[in-house]
Amino acid sequence: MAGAAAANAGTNASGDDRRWGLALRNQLNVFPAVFFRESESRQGRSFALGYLASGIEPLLVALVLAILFSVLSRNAPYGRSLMLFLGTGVFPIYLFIHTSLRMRQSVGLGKRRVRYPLERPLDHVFVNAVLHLMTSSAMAVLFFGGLYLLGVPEALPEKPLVAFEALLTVFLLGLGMGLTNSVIVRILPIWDVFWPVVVRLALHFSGLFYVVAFLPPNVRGWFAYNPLLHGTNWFRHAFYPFYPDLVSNENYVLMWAFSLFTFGLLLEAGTRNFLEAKE
Amino acid sequence: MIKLRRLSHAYRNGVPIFSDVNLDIPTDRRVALLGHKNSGKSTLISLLGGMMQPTFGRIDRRVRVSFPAGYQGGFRLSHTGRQNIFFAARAYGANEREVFDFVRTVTDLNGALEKPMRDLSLQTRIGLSYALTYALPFDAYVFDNIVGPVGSDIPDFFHRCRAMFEARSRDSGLIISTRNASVAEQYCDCAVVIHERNLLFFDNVYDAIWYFERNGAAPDAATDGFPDQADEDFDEDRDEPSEFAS
Repeated sequence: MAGAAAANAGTNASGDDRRWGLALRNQLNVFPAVFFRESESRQGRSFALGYLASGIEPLLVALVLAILFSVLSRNAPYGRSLMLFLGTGVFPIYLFIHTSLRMRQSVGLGKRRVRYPLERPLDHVFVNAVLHLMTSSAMAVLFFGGLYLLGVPEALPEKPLVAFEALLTVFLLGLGMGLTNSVIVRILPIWDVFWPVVVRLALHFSGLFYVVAFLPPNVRGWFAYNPLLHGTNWFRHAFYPFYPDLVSNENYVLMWAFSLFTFGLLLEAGTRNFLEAKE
Repeated sequence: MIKLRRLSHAYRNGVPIFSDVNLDIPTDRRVALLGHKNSGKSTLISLLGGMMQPTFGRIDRRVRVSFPAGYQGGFRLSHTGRQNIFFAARAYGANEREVFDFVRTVTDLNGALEKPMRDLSLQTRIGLSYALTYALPFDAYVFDNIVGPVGSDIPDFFHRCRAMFEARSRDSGLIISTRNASVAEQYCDCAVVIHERNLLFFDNVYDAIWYFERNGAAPDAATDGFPDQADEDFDEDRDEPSEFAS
């Protein structure tokens, strides 16, 4: 091995090839290794319990709202099924909330002192992102499938591709926010307490239990600045063919998602050395 | 071959350790890294192992360089020894079973490897980490001060480490930092000497020791304010109090 290195050192090009080959091989090894370890346990808790806990939260919120609505004897704000309306709101919103929280935790784990030098913090970010996307999708399939079996035919989306696009965009938005958070929390540790509280405000402002297009025009204008709201509406368009599209700008949320993701990546790369030296 | 190109490094308080170093360190020989107290030996070992990034310049590793032997940071203490060994083996592209069997044989830990790592003593974890370092296939192994833990609670472990060291030196490079000339003489055949924030390579370890000892009263050794002879007798224990407090 060392002999080959010495032979390669003569020409610059082959040396570079070898270096890139080495880097790629490292990635190919590190990714599955981190993936298996993370899926075995999530921060010390057992796998099933950790993921179940995050999957149950949206269900619980939807259920409580449904009970509240029926006690107040109010109908679904749109469509026939109250549970479906709340479900189509709660899933994209919680996908954003949990993704933005998860990433914050996983970069913290990727700190210099608690990893091998060939693991990069971003390995942990992407492995956790993939795992989270997988469990969220499984949860969504179970929920909407269950609703269909309970006799709500609309629970199978009219346009599955649109639903998928909407969720992917919201996921990217959460990923960007999570990357940004992961940097902020290392500079400002109190953010760890602050952000989970702030991000749950998204439940109130993203059209979970009302149709934004039916709000008065002066209020509606302010709501329209919230990118997550457009994500929720986008997701609902997949289920309801005639869902009011007064406040549904898909390009707006896409633009937010891509800018935030790029910003998060740049911020992480730009502060990496500084933060590692600080820790 | 590890190539240092225009390498400069400073502590965060701005005190420079290396300035503008250009050097090729061979990775097919046993290299001693000789430096006096506070000359930056451990820092250089961390830089070579990829544990931190230099302030300026480039470290070109064309080969797989190990983490500093005995490194604890890769372990998840909530996971079992087996899970941790399997993870390291996967990440470094080695056969999991082979690495696991190697570590188990060398450390004589059988049942203990199935328990969470936090149930093991620190001494045992350090021993485990050394065994793991030797078990993984690297082209160059880096050591901070010592090739195996002294006073480990695994019986006869230091001698086993020496045997593994000899075995690995047949087809890999080894880099050991030390300020003890006899360690360099015992383990190495060439050396890099840290002198006045620069690195000098010597093809023959005896030339290096001669140069190292002649520059014993170098300004960087005098800055710590202690006479240097006093701590030569302590061997290397004082550099790593947490690891070798036996």
